[in-house]
Amino acid sequence: MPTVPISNLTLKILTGVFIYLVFQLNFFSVWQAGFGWKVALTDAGINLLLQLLTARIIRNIFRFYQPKVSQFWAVIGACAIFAILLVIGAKFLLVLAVPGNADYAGFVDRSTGIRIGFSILLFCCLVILNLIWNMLRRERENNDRRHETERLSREAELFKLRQQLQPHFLFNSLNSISSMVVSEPKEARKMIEQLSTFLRTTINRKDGEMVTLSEELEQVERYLTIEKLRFGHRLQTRIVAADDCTESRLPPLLLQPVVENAIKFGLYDTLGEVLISIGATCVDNELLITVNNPFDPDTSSRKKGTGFGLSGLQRRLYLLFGRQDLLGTETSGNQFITSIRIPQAYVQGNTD
Amino acid sequence: MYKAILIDDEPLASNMVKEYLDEYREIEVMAVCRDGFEGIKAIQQYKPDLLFLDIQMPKINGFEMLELIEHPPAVIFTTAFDEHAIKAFELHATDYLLKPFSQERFDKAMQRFLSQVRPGTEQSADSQANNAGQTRALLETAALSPEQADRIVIRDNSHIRIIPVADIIYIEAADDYTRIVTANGAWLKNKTMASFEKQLPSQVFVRIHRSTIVNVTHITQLHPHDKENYTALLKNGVKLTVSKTGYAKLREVLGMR
Repeated sequence: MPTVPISNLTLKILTGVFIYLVFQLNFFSVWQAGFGWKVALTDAGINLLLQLLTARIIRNIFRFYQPKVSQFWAVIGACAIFAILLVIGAKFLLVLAVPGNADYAGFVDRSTGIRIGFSILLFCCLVILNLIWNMLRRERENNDRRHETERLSREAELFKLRQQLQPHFLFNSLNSISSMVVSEPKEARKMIEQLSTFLRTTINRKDGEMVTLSEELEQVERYLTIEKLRFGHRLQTRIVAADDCTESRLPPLLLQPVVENAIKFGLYDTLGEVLISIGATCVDNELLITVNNPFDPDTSSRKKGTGFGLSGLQRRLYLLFGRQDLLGTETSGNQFITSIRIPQAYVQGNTD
Repeated sequence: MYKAILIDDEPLASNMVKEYLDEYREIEVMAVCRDGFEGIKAIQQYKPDLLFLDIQMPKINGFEMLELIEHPPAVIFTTAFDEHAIKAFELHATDYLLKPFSQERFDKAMQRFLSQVRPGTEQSADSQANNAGQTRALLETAALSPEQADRIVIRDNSHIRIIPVADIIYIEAADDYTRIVTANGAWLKNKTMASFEKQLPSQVFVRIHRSTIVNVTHITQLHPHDKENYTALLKNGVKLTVSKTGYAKLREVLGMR
């Protein structure tokens, strides 16, 4: 998307053309005044060198300095003063460069006015060119930055969506339903309903709002029902929650990834029947949830350490509660146990 | 009559393939397996002409199971969502079924299989050799996926072992096979040195010789051996020959100037 009609190169060429035109004008004016080409060339050459130097200074100043709108005339004014000073400086140089020529010295004196006029004109043109170019470059950079930011936020959103929908789970569930449509149409319909409710709840949950344990366990149960259907007898589940905990609160979608992890490692890391058990108790105004799954100590502990992909959860708990000690993992024989503690005082205070 | 075996850890998924296969009188389903271990046994027992193979399964995935089979039959891969597998299929122009799939899509895959195996079609012998090469290339690509990259699956008689890559001390060429040496023993695998070199992390495993890849953490000493070669002494006392180019690679990985 070329929003900048002039490039750095164009700017340089334009500057060059301007300076060259002034040089020609300078040369011919002096020549026409009857001073011979040597003098004309010296005059024009000295002016050319000074102009090139100035062009370079202007370029360097405006690379880092962007005047405000209110400062525009001040900048032009400063420019004019600089142009005048430069002409006065040039005058001395010119007279020195062509010594013993009173005619020429007089000519230089007489032409001071017109020299200042051209000098100011050239300077202002260069400054304005630089300002325009800088403005356009800034616009281009802003555009690039905006596009980059948009791309990043889009990616983050897509990632979140994908996490929520778990394509592997979704497509496999659809495949199971597809398989049941002919042989067990009633069951298939029930599964579609379960899957829909599961997805709807997942999508509707908001990051900030706390949910009750019973709501969260219902959601987990829907998920497990679908998984049990997919894996048949291989998957057994047990959920035990103490009666006094059902109204305890926890952040939404916190338990879900733990259960998914348990399923993933339980089912894909072992052969044969797998029991996933979830327990919830309330101790000292804290809600304690444990998830047990079997694993193979020979292959998985060495492969993934004890992290089991729970670092994202650790991070989330830290952001929510400012504590690093709320997520715990331990192994006992071939059982992997994940435990999460949710401080209730904090949660209650936070929901108001 | 062609023999088929279904391998998928989800029974409903296998049921659907079985149902779709009802229309094919010439296909007989010999076994329905729930993981790669059962799959290998059934393949040895029945010598099938066709496999329906799921990718994500317990312990070893579909690709790893296929690696362990000497002469793999024709395979129709099925998968629900696996970016790495799908990339590998696309790269090697392998047909695969994305779950859930329709009978029509299934029939298309079957037509392709039948046109390859039916006698009378001239291409059959040729295309079978071609298929074997293609399967091998596909498995080599699949081995690079993060799931597979950190383990090697080997078969030792009827026993299947999963070796974490970190346990490997060195790998050496052994005729048509490669020998994987660990602290607990050595095993043969039907896989080339070149593909091991690609799969194993290059910061730890260095090909020090045409026929040796070594885990650099096991090297204790390096001596000049003769004009061209060096000798690497390992912690377990084994001496390995290091070629001139191997020595250069080793120096780079070990950060020697």
